[in-house]
Amino acid sequence: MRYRPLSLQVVIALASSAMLSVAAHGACPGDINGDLRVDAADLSMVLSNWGGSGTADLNSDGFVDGADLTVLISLWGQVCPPPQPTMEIRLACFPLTDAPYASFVQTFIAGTTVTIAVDPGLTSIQVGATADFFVVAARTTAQWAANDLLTDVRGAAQPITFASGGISANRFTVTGGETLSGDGGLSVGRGYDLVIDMDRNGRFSLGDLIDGGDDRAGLWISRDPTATGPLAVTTLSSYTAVGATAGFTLARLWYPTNVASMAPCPLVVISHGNGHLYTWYDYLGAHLASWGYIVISHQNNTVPGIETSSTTTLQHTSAIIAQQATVASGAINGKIDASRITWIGHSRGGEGIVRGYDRIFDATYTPTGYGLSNIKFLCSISPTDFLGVNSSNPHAANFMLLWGAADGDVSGTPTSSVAWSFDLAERSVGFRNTVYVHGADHNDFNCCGTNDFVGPTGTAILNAGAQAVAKAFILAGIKYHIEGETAMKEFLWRPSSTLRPTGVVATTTLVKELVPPASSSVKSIDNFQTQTSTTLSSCGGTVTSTVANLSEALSRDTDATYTWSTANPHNGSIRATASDTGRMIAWDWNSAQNMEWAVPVSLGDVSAMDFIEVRVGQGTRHPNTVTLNGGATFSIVLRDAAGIEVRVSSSAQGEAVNRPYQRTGDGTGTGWQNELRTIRLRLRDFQSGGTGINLAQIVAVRIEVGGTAGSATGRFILDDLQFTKE
Amino acid sequence: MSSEIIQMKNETMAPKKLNNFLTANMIACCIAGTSAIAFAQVANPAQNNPAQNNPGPALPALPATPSIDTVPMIVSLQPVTIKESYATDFRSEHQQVSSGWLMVIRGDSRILAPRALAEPLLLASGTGADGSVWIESVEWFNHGFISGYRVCFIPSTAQEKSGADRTTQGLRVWFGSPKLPESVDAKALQSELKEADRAGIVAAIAVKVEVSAPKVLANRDELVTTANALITRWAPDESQDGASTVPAVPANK
Repeated sequence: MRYRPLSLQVVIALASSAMLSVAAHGACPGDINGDLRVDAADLSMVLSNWGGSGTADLNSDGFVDGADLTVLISLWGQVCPPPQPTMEIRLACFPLTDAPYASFVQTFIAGTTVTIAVDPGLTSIQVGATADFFVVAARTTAQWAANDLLTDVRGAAQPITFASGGISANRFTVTGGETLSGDGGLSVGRGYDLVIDMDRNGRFSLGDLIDGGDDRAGLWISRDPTATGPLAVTTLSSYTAVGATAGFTLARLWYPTNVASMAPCPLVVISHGNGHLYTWYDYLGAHLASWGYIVISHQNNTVPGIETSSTTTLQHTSAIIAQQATVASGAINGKIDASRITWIGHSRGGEGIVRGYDRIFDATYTPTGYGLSNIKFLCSISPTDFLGVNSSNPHAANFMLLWGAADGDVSGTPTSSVAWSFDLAERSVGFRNTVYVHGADHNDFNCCGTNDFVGPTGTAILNAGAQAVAKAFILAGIKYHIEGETAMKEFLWRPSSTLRPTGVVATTTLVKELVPPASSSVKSIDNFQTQTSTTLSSCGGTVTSTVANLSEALSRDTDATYTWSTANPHNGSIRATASDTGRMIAWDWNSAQNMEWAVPVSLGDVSAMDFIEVRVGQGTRHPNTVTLNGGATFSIVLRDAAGIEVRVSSSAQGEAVNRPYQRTGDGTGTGWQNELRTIRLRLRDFQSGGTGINLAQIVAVRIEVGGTAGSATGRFILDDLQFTKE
Repeated sequence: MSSEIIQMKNETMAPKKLNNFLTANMIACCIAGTSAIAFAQVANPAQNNPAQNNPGPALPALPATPSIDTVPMIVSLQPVTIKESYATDFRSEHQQVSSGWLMVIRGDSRILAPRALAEPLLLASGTGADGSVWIESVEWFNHGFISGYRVCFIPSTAQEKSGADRTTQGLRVWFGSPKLPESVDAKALQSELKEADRAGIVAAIAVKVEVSAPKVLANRDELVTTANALITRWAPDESQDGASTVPAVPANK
């Protein structure tokens, strides 16, 4: 029975009886008419709706009756705060043990626990209030404007009640988070927006909190990027490319079997290394095709050198575009999107693709069927560097480097810059990221090369381990750069401890760098390039420090041995040939020390930025590194114009600068090249708990080590201290 | 042409048989009456590195070159004429090539192993009709690490002073310093020649060479096709036959 009329006397009698336990009704329970007071006007609405349902149903039991009247009377006379506008705020996070107690992220692997956190210091939530938490299929800004109805993909919203105790007391496990679907069709994942419906009206309205109210999804549930994609794949064992150098005309083709029913697919070209075969990359070709790409792997003229290698890549790219009507009996005719090309190269082929890009950039080669702007992404796997900065330069291309730390060929030996790969990456002025893979050797990235493993016993990850890394990160890079799947970016910088492709073994150490190109999304404090003094930053601010043995110089090991020497302060850095210009700083400590950069007023408003970040690595074989014998931690301190300082520790985020791969050779000691990784701390973490720091007026950034700030001893190599946007 | 080569054996050996012969005898043969040179034993490239539990053949360390210890053995040598000349990629000058010798060598696997870093140049030198010494950067079509056999082509670059009348008289084939062939010019080759002399590399070694009238090929495509046939015969693991659906892989990888 739905209709239960009661006399007014009965109603009043009920209201004066024991209080009923009801959940708070949004931000201002009892204020039915929205005038910010609980008064006679609200009582009038209860009475006018008596026996029915609607907004006067304060306890949400489906009836307007005595119970609602009881609630109203209990709140009688309450003056409510004015409604807040909707607030875009990060909610999805993984919990941290220590302050700031939550690390706000977007991407989770499907099947894992998802958590949200609400910071009372940054929101207007009321302790004791209950709100409804919604997981909604992701909408764009325009879609939210057109439709504010909240529909939870889990079937029902999740009530959450705010507690005292700061952010640590307001973390909530997303009910059913493990079962959220990551099936986004050809997207690796699926996006969701997260809404806290403060007034519990089932609509995204004033006072509500949202993560993803813009075009970005607040939460991205990703499938395992090492896993085969949703599409069946057809392989053409080989075809002959017309116009390619004699002897190097064969290529293998992979494409989605149902390509005829698909929109044109981006093109991926794989260029093998010296002594390798074009048939050795089936794992990668089939993987990428299953995610919606047309992939070729071509014979590569690598023996003469890099120039010839680049020529075959350039030729084969033109050939497949030109021959699409005939190759595979025309199955891919009209289905190649030549405006979105990825080049992947391994070894000499890895340098070859960069050389090919450089030749087009320099206008010394004009390809047919495509141009420089069509090459959206370069991925070099363990590339050589024969030609140097003037000829092997990725310029502003989106560039990814994958490199195995146990490579016995392109080994990273300090004796020859040909065996360096990081210098290629350092030349990039576009979006670049690197993944340095402990335990992987040169030919682990193909099926059939020699075993060139050089590293500690028991650390080899073999072909399966390295190829899982390649599949995951190349797919992530392509989806990010080619398809605009922004959530895949987190794979490129977050540590494996918080975001790991399921197919990558948990014990595999991946050292990641991400360096965004100079743009309005970057406020560089010091890139150590334009000012060579250790007391002046590249942005013009004063630099002070208490650290020991500070050196700012070319990022280059100068004595051809990894044996530590004070005469070679950048020992272990193999990121700049003699012709390159990449500079970094190095210093060490044995007690509480710091280095501080003054932030000019012109850069001090970072309220629109998301991160403070730095690239940092441990100095290999340095006595302090040997003593530390593990991950190094530090803190970053921000100070505003009012003198408020807030410190966030890398260790609180579960971040540490990893110990160099424990490889021997090229001198005495243990530890291979200096491995830099990007550590990003979210600026919001500096406001966590209501610190009051004004991000619009930051005057200094300080890196602290030792004492309570981080590891007691160590030696750091640092570069690119900057504020960045998501 | 046939008189230029002294043949140690009067039969052409199949690869497997030749392997056995080399292993059993470890004797190198010589050309044109020069002294015999010891032939380095080919390491077993398929040997695993059990300590790393990686099933691939181990990448051997590269020995110093040039050295008489690493001089390869010539297995066959076929003069070739190419009607439509092409520009060689194995010289920085990219000279036009219209003739040369198609060659199969057996070499030290430590050198034949493919590497990303610079590999030893494969060089050939001989005497021209005018008595001058020529030297050339040899093109190769496969590495030969697993099989031990490398299929090569000694281009005769017409622009060279002695190029038009090159002969195999005094032929030497050896591995020079590690460099990218595309970076090598005439000056660098002369330097390599001096290094070879200093290393005592004075003659080629051969088991059996087939010398006949020049084979006439239409263009480089035909040269590649001919070379591929030799690869299929001598180094089948590196065959890149387009009809194959199975990658050529070491059996144990």
